[in-house]
Amino acid sequence: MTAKKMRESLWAAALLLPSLVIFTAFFFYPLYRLVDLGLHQQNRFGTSSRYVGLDQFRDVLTGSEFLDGLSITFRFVLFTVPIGLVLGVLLAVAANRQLRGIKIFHTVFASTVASSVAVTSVIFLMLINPQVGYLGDVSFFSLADPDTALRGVALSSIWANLGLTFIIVLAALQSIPDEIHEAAVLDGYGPARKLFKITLPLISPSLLFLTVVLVIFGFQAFGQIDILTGGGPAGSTETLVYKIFNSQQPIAQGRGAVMAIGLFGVTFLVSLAQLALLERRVHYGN
Amino acid sequence: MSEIVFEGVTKRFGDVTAVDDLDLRIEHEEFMVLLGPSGCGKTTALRMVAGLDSITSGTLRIGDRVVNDVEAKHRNVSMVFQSYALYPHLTVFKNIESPLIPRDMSVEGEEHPRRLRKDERAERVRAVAETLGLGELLGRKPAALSGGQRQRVALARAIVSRPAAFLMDEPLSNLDAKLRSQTRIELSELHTRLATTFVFVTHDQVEAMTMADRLAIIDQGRLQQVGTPREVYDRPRNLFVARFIGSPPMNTIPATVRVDEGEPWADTGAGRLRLPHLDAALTDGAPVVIGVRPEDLHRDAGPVQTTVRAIEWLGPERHVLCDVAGTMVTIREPAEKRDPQPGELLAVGCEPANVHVFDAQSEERIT
Amino acid sequence: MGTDAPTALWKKLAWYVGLSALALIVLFPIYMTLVRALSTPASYFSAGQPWHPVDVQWDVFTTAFSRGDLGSKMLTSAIVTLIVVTAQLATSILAAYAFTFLEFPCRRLLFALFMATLMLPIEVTLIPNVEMMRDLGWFNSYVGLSAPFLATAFGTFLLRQGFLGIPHDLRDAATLDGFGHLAFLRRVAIPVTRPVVASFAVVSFLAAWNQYTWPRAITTQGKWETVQIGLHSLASATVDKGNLALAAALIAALPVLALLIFLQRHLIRGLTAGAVKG
Repeated sequence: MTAKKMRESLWAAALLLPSLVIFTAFFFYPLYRLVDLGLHQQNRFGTSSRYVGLDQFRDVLTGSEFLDGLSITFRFVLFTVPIGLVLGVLLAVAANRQLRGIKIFHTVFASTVASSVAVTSVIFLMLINPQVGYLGDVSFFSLADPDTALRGVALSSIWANLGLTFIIVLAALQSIPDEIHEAAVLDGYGPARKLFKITLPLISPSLLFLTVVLVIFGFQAFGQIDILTGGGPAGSTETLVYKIFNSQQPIAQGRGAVMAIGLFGVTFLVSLAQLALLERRVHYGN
Repeated sequence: MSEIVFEGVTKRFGDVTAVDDLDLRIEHEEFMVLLGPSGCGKTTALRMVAGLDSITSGTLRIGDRVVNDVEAKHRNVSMVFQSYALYPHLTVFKNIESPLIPRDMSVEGEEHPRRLRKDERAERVRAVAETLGLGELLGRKPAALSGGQRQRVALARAIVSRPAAFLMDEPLSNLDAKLRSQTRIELSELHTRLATTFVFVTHDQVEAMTMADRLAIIDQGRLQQVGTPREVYDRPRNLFVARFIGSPPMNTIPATVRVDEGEPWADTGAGRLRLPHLDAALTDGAPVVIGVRPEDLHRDAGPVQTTVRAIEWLGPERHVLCDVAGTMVTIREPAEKRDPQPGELLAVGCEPANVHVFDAQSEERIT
Repeated sequence: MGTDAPTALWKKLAWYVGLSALALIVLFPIYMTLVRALSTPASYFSAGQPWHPVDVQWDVFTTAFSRGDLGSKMLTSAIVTLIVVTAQLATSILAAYAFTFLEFPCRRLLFALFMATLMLPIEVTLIPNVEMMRDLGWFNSYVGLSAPFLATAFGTFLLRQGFLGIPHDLRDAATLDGFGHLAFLRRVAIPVTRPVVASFAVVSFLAAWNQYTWPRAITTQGKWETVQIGLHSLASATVDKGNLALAAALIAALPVLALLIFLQRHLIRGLTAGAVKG
């Protein structure tokens, strides 16, 4: 028997090895490297580095660069997630019925899932760019104004995420057995009451999942900012990821690494908090 | 020779003992049924024979070979699963063919087993499919078959490799009642034709009684009794077997032994029943449990007073359920007798020879 | 909602009208993209930015194709996507098999470690990863573009879910039939879970093709740009020729659009199993 267990372990090692190599090289080692970079400061040419310990962590994490980036990131998430969720639910509830040709509407509502961040950004650059944009006069989203540029970026992200939100909410709606709706109708629930008292609570696990996913998308947003605003105007759309991306040169690496660890920590905490907070109010069926 | 011998075989899963010190010898070409309630360890015993579960301690032999450490595919046994375990993506032909692909098979007129050629495999598959009436279905996938057809494909896949022993784990439980009784007959015929050792696991005593040469009754991992269906029915070795075999089950009534002028009696609290003369001496006042089969009870002015609680009419026969000093007993009688009424008082009795006596403590049969 | 009593005709009609209105809103950006891509920019603006194309130029797509060097960029994207999808399928299937069918020490710990990588997106580890690519000389190369994505915990998770759905009896039957691990994997596990494998492949394709941050970080030469990065270059270089960038965006979206239309079932199954989007 031990010989058999030995053989299985060897098989397992062989099968897991390829993934483990990749994960070690491009996930775990870089994580270690981030900490290492964070503990050191390099000169401009990357030729010498000096151990500065946790000082750099303290300086960066309490500095205005990180906190600004964090606040912009949070605002971006706040702009995109609630509106995106509500719109996705609206589309899914509207399209979850038996009508001839409903599949066409499903495909249309899901279609933005195919639009990459670059494609989306180019499209919205045209729609809201102040010089040449179609909706340029709609100053609420203007990319040229530091007060509104983040809204413009958020608008493109909401549209881009709509397809995914729709797909997941619709799948959740379709998994509710017909009997439950019939029982609710027999109990005398009107459409609105049924939606808020029955349907939404039943799909709350999917909504929770979506919320976490959309928040993480928000934290990771880069391409739309890169293409739509380049972080501007006046740094008003420089999210944490954008700042990290622009900290590649040796002298900035240490600071960038600390910000990356900060981003990781915040993402982690927000996900945990969200799960803990929502878990209690979520109905898990089956 | 392909007898299968368990010698002190134990199987533990963590703290749970699934099979406890099992000694059982399954003879060459025998149809052996392992019978017991679900979770009793009978399937684990079968899976140890197949090589799907390892053996914690003891020795398992197939033929003259100890197989404790032999891999499943080298044991030369095959198995029909409860779910049939057909490969859903393969046709019937390929399902039946699959055991022939990765193993060496013996070929008539050749000394050493070898891998079969494609045409040889096809020939064997066709031959087996023909005997089981699957010839028309070879191109279909399992999803396009009825339950009975799937069961046949599973049988064919098990037969095609010409195993030394043929293991079946509740293969009839997914069939409807009519098909099940028909398949029972076919399996018995198949056993005769193949002349191979069959080990058949079930919780259904009707399957066990109708098909088995011998049956082994297992409860809580322990072997309770081995014997022919008749032996097990007529002389159950303990209370578990007595209550498990027979439908409706044997009536068991707690009683106290009374020895009166050398004659043994059982006092049920609602009247005395005469006991048979046993080898073991019964002492006055000893607590026992007496067992009487429902068909052995009659209500012709017997010594035990009962009240009728319910009547179940089943066409040719009738079950009269009545209360003997707080214990429910069943009388099974032909329907042409006069109908009793609920609440009616009956005087019940039976022949001493038909009374089984069990020790109240050990629950073992007193002989 | 499926079995609502016979719906009155006017009610049905109202739904069609409402759904169509929503569809128009969702499709509006794409429609305007078409309008603007087809119009000659100067004529369009002098016409006061109408809702329809002005002075239609059908050759804008071929022009965008040649001006943006889209051919070679699509090829780069295609090769990287092919490498990533193939590798992810292979590594995920093998790892998922181990986590499903094999007993080995530290199994739970290793699985947790795999899942932990989901908390480490490339955006977090960007700086050290880019540094490593620079040190290895993997900037502007297929290996650099694909290396960090050759394995994925998402795929391992998804395929493990699929494998867990294989009945135990089937595994046992295969053992008795004499199949070893690789034979079981190839002959039974993969064919039986083909829908899951397909769903994962489609989602993997979507993510790889739409990838932005990583290729943007490690390509410095136009000829190594993927089509997504090509869009960025076109958009920033041709503000006055917005129609070219828009035409290029439509071209870049074509493969994924085809995916959505022809493999919608798999795409939806994969996305609902755990969302991933580039």
